[in-house]
Formats: sequence, structure tokens, C-alpha cells
Amino acid sequence: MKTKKVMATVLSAVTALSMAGGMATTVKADDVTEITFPTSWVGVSVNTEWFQDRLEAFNEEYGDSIKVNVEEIAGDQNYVDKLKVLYSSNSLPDTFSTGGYNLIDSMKDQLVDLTDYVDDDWKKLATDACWDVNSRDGKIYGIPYTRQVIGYFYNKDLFAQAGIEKPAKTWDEFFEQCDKLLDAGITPLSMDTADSGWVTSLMLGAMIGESDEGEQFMNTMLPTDYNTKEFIDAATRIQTMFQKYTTPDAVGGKYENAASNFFMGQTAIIANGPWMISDFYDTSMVEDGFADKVGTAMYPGDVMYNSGKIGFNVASKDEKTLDATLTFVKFLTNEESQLKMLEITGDIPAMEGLTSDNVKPLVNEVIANGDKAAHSINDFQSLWYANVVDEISIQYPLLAQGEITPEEFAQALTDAAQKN
Amino acid sequence: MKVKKWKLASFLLPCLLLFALIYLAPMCMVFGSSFFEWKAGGVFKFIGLDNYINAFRNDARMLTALKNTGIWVVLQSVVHVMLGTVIAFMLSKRKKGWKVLRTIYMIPNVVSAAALAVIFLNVFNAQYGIINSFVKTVTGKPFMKNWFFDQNSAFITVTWSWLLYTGMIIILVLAGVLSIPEDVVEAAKIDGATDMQINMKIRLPLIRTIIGTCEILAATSMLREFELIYLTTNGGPGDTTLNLPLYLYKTSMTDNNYGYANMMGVILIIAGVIVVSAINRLFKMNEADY
Repeated sequence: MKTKKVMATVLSAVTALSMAGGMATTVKADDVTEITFPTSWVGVSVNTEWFQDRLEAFNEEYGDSIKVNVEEIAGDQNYVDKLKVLYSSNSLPDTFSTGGYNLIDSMKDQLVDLTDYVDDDWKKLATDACWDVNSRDGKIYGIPYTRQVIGYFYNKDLFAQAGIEKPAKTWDEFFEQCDKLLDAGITPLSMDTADSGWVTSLMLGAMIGESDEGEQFMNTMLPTDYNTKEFIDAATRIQTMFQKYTTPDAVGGKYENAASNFFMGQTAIIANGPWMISDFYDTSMVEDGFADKVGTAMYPGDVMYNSGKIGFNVASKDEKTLDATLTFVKFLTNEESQLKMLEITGDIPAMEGLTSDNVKPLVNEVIANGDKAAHSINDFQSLWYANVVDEISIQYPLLAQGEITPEEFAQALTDAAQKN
Repeated sequence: MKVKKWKLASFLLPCLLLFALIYLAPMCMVFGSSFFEWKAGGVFKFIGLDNYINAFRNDARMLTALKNTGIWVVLQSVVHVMLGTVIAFMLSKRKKGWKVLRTIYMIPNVVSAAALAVIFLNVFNAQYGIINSFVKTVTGKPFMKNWFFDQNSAFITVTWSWLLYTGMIIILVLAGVLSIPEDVVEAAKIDGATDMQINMKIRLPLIRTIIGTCEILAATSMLREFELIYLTTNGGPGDTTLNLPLYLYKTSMTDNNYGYANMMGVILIIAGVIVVSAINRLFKMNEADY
């Protein structure tokens, strides 16, 4: 009986102590400032190698005074969702980078206005377009480090088999080429619908951006009306693509399915950015020499995604951690880090004129296409409301199967946008 | 032995505090904030019952989510539990291999939802899925049904991913059937009862409370179901497979409309209380038979 009493008392005390332990704060040395940085640059992310290199270099230089607490969260969507949870409890980390997802508009009340901290020297590390995407009402809420330059890739061997000499200049010609590929027994397009339907939505945006009005729409922040002629025409063509020119697993498929079909030579065309280029050389994904078969192209109408990209957002709550956070962000966005990113991932630096001899030739081709583009547009993930991006993925299957019309598709996105 | 009240209180206090902090306080916050317009960007305004009125008057997606949730609760309570009970009764005969079968039925219950979702996405894949390949082999014709993403088949395909996997029900019912005193069954046999009569009139009534427990588990699992839908169809195509927990998540995480999401949380809690109370009454859970 006595033993039982002692055990019960101990258990009760342990429970109480563990509760108290949870509430306790971490004691840290005064001379080291700790900052928090959750990241999705882990595992198979294309940025993992770059981030590990930069973190190591940062720790070497600033490890005595700044400790970066890195929380690893695999998957971009999981990462964004985690940040939203932290936002709702007013506990955003000191800094975060969403890789293009626009959280500035929904979180700017908790983000630090960085305008006063960004001096002229820092501003030179990115183009005006990059700063514009990261600013609201003249206030800077994000520090850019890359640009979006996105066209499409095509398989030169499959094009040759179908008798196609060069990429199409108009969308009519593009669809004629798709027919030629079909006639040659080749599935023309890699497409997807899951997550944000990234590959498909890039095509959608490029079609919208073909005209001046469409280009303006594709550079409008947070549009709330998708019932425009350009959008509906583009959705009509996407419906045709789904029904005629893509693989059976496109509806419901993820980016990985679309990419895999292109890697295996089962499709001839995929829309994506230059960060994909390193995969063309990765023999665990593709056959040896695959990169030599890949060509780069502008979208018909000389359209390219050519814009700034959301960078590092800062949400430090006191001056000391803010100083440390800005030192960390400045390090990750400096010229050396941008150059490393170009060399390791193929992502285009935010700074104009920053090039390297150590990049894959296809990367330079994409950059050159970006410089030649007649219409430069921004990508939907940066521009559109998050719930619109989510709505796309559940409406695409209905559009693909003809269950809804392009007009109803546009209305569904409009309804979603107007919830905000 | 008389225990002093202060001793009792001191032992209960840590647990009560944990319960209050982790369940009670958040639940009160959910209930309270459901009467507010609370959105990202610092919007926080008392609007009374507007969230509730909008949900039932103006939000077609909310009604679809409620309808789907209701259908799944009913299907799970009736078909899932009935199927599990029948299999448990068959296994209770202890024919050769019954333990192996029991273990096999449990496998889907021990696999994580994420892994199950990937398995089902592959099984039902339009291009290389085993189902389409089977149909193609049998008919000799190409078959490309996109089970999860065709509006006509999405609901039943998602339902398939849990309806038939009754491992937990089998384990509970089987334990109940095997614990029925043998002399009761023997007496029925001496009176000339057939196997079917013994099952329907002796065994089934005697495990009434266990079936009731299974009903509660099955019904409430559908009020909580999230991962499998999120990881397969994400509620689509359109809102064909949207249920209330997923709609709550999307309203909170993508619409950033926390007040409206918490209103759905309150509705889910109320639905849970109603379902559990109804099953408790229906199965007379407080009355023991033996």
C-alpha cells in the first residue's frame, strides 16, 4: 500500500513538473541571438544543397553571435500551411521564404516593414521588378533573391520524329504541332491538376498573357474577376489540351507525374522554370544524355514568365532579433548567395547581369528567352489569392471532363477570389 | 478507507489542468470566435449569428459538405459496422485459418492514412492502376476510368477507401462474441435453436453494447475524416467529395476565414454530441445484460 502511495505521488509530481517544464523558457547566452527559420528546403527540394552550403557559410562567419534555429518542413504546401497556423496564433518565425507563394497580403499586419532597413547598396542586389513584387503601398515586406523566368521545355527527338522543326510562334501553330505529335503516336503535353496544377496553370497563364489586356491581367495583383475574354479563351484551350493532347494520368496527377512523363520521353512538352534543368542531368531520374535532347522555348506570342519573386519575409518581434534576422537574410540574398543559387539550382538571380560560366547551357537559353520576350507576365501563385490557387486544382478535373464550361470555370475562380 | 478530499484534489489537479488547457479552453475559443468575423489581416468583429445564417442560407458548398458528411456517417454506421459484424460472426466459428484472416483484416487499420492514400491513388490510377488493368484484361478493350477524379465515380471511390476495411469492428465484435458464456449457447442448442437463431436471438442481443461502441467509433470517425480525402481528391472534383472537416480546413487555411471555420467546428462538435447521444439511447448503452 505504501509503495502504491509513493508511486502515485511520484507520478502526480512528474505530471505537474512536465507541465511546468513545458512553460519554462530556454535560457541562452546573452551574446548569442537566436533566430527561427522554418524551411522547406530539405530532402529532395532543389534548394536543399544551396541552403546547406549557405547555412554552413553563415555559421562560420556569424556563428559566434547568431544561432539560426532551422525547422525542417518537407513540401511547399505543408510549409505554407504551417506558416498560416503560426500566423493565426501571432507566432510567425523571425524569417521565412515561401518560394513564390504570396503570403504578404494576408500576413502583412504581422510582417516587419523593411523599407528603412534596405539601403541603396542592398537595393542594387535585385531589379526594380523584384522589389515591386515584394512591396505594398511603397513599403518593402520581402527581400528578393531570385527572379521568375519560365518558358517551356520540349523534347527535340520527339519533335523531329513528328517532323516539327522549331517551337510554335502562335497558339494555332502550337496546336497544329500537337496534332502532328499525335499523328506520330506521341502524347504532346505533360499536364497536372493536383496541388495548384502548376504545369497546366503555367500554360493557362501564358495563353492569357498573349494579348496586351491579358498581359495586364497576368500582372495584376490579386484579381477578383476571372470572367474576362482572355481568361475564358485560355480555359477553353486548356480544356482541349486535357481532352486531346495529354496523358490519362494528367487529371488528378501531381507535378511529379507530369515531370516523370517528360523525363521518360512519354510526352514532348512541359512548362516549367529553369530549376528543372538540373533534373535533366540527373541520371537517377533520366537516361544518360537526356539533357541534350531538351530544347527551351518561349510560349507562343513570345510570352515568358519574367518577373520578380516573393523573397524572405521578416516577422521578428524585437530589435535585437530583428538585427540578427536581417544579417541572416542579407547573407542569404547577397551577390555570392545568388550566384551560388544560379550555379546549384539554376534559379535566376534577382540581381541583373549576374551570370556564371558554371551553369548548364539550358539555363542561359532560358534567360535569353526571357530577355527577348514581347510579353512578360507574372506567375499565378505569386499573384492570385491562395484559395483561388486551391480552387483551380479541384475545378480542373471538371473542366477536363466537360462537366463545366470554361465560363463556369472562370466563375468558380471569381467566386473563390471574392471570398477574400 | 477514507481518502482526504485535498489529497484527491491534488491528484486530479494536473489532469484537470491539462484537460482545461488543451481541450476546454480551445473549445471555448472556437465557440466564442464563431460569432465573430475573424479573418487574416487583423479583421475581428462581433457579428452574432451571421456566420451560422450564411452557412445555411447562402453557402451551397457548406450544404454539400454537410450532406456528404451525413451520407458517410450513415454508410459507416450501417454498412461498415454490419459488414464487420458479419465477418466477426463468421470468424467466431474458429474454422481453420481464422486467426490469419483476422490479422489480414486489421492491416488497413495499421497502415498510415498517407500510405493508404498513395496506395489507393495507384490502385485507381487511370493509366496504370490495377483496377483498370483488370477490366482491360477481362474485356480485352482499353479502359481508362479516372476513378478518383471522374465526377460520377469520385464519391464511391473515396467511400471505398474506408467502407470495406472493418478490422477494428471485427476485433471488437469478435471479442464480444467469444466472451459470451458457452452455457447460454448450449442451452439454446438443447432447446433446438438453429445456428442462425442462436446468432440473431442470443449472441447479437448479448453484444448489443459492443455493437453500440462500434457504431460510435464508426460514426464519429466520419465526423473526423480528413487525411484520406485531402490526400486523394482534396474534396474534388468540384465539391463532389468535400466533407465538413476538409471544408473547415480549407476555410481556415486557404480562405484565412477563422471565424467561419470555427463556426463549422461548433457544428461538428454539436453533430458529434447528437450522434453519440442517439447511439447511446438506441443501443441502451447504460444497461448491462450479463
